Amino acid sequence: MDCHQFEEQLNDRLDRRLSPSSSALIEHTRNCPPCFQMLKGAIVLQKGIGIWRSQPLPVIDIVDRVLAQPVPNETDAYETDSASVYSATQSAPIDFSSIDNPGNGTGPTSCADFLICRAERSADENPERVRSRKALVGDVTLLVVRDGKRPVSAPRPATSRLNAGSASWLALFASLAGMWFVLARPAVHSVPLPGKSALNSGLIGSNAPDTASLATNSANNRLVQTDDRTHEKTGGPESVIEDVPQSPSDLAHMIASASGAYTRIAIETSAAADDFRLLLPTRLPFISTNSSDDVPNSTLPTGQNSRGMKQHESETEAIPLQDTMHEALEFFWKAVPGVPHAST
Amino acid sequence: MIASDVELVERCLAGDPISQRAFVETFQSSIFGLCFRMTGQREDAEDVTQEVFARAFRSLAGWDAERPLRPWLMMIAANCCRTALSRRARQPVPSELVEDFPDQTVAVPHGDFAETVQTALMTLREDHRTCFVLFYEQELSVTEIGAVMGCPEGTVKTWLYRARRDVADFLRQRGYGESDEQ
Repeated sequence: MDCHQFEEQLNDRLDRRLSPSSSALIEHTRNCPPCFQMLKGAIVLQKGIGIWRSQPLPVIDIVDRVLAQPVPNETDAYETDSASVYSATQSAPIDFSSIDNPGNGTGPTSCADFLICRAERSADENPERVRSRKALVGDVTLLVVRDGKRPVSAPRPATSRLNAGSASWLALFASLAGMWFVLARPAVHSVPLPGKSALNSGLIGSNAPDTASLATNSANNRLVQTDDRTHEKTGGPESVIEDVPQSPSDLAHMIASASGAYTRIAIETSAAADDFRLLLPTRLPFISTNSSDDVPNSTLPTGQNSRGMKQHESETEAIPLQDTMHEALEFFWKAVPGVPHAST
Repeated sequence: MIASDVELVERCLAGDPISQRAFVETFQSSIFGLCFRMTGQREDAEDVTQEVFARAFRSLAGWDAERPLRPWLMMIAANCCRTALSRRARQPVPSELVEDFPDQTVAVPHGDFAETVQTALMTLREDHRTCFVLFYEQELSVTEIGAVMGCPEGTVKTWLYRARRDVADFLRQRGYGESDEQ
């Protein structure tokens, strides 16, 4: 055994929570003072860890303290440290079983609020090994996967098709360089939407098609989903149903007028770039460039509370919200070729 | 996946106060343990633990029932600890804490061994410390730690190696093990 093998075996034993002092390792140290010191350090460390672990922790009972604070429910989850939540809800790729069984899984909430958030990947994270993630940010569920199919260049529109002053824009997502977006799942679906159906978890997956959009409407309690891949097969839509948004403003209007019906918007993206940032636009249709947490009650749709968005305290470059919204809308809509249609 | 976890979560999501209480009671010790080891201070650990539960309840609907609940909570806890530590790092260190920090040239009695290990932990890089605590205190596997921290197992092993090395160096510099000669 040479010193390299010694160190490997020592670390392997420690990783497996075994005693560092095996006969083979001890034998090697008899004629190797540096490895002897290493082994001795490992033994001391192990003893120290044992004593450290045996130290009793302070006894706490914070149950009442936890429960005394307002427990955010699904319609009250606005104050969100998005970066933490983002990394806190990493998940495997989601299956599609709930498409056919809408009662499965977690479902949409009844709030149409959106948050602005920003999530950044750890500098230590190996971009080649990033697994699928899902972030629950307020009422927006964001699924991020690395299973990208597209080059990671986010086109930036040369001109704006959006009306900056309008209060009825919905920004679904903002893309910075190195990201691309995919929404939803293949084929056209119009499925019953129970109160807690698996809207997102059933619709989004790492092998999602290029583009699609989804929306829900509580008025008829239907989930409407469109997919441009269907168009590729059929040569074009056979029909257009009312619930499918025809433009960003359409979608925004539908969301705004649904009074809490449009809930989670799931977005799938490739996160191949090192500069990995996610931006979710904020409460709509009341877009404001003011980053204040307070949103006047008078601007809130029915069913929404008065708690405003909370922008994540990021040390990265601040992007004016209005610009972000425009970029988000522009890019999102550009990513959906043509007008989304659906057959019934 | 533990069936009872799923049921517990479902009841919590349904707003059942008894289940919410049970949820906190079930996990408060382990979460507090992690937070205490990570922050080194009881008050901070309690605050972070409370924050962990707040976040957990807020995100409970997003929990993947196919995955075990406890590592998911540990993930939130680790993130909350990270946030708390970074917040603390931006604050000036009180002078009395600096004075309390033992001189490296002074050998620490063995009675303070555990405290020295904890002190050594506090000198580690945050992600190394998280790895160390999750591995030794929470007894998560390398695979589970990778899932919690969102990094490959190889990275976890590397961080564990570095954490162990640095703690061992810290102990050696304080005289632990020096009396044992070959």
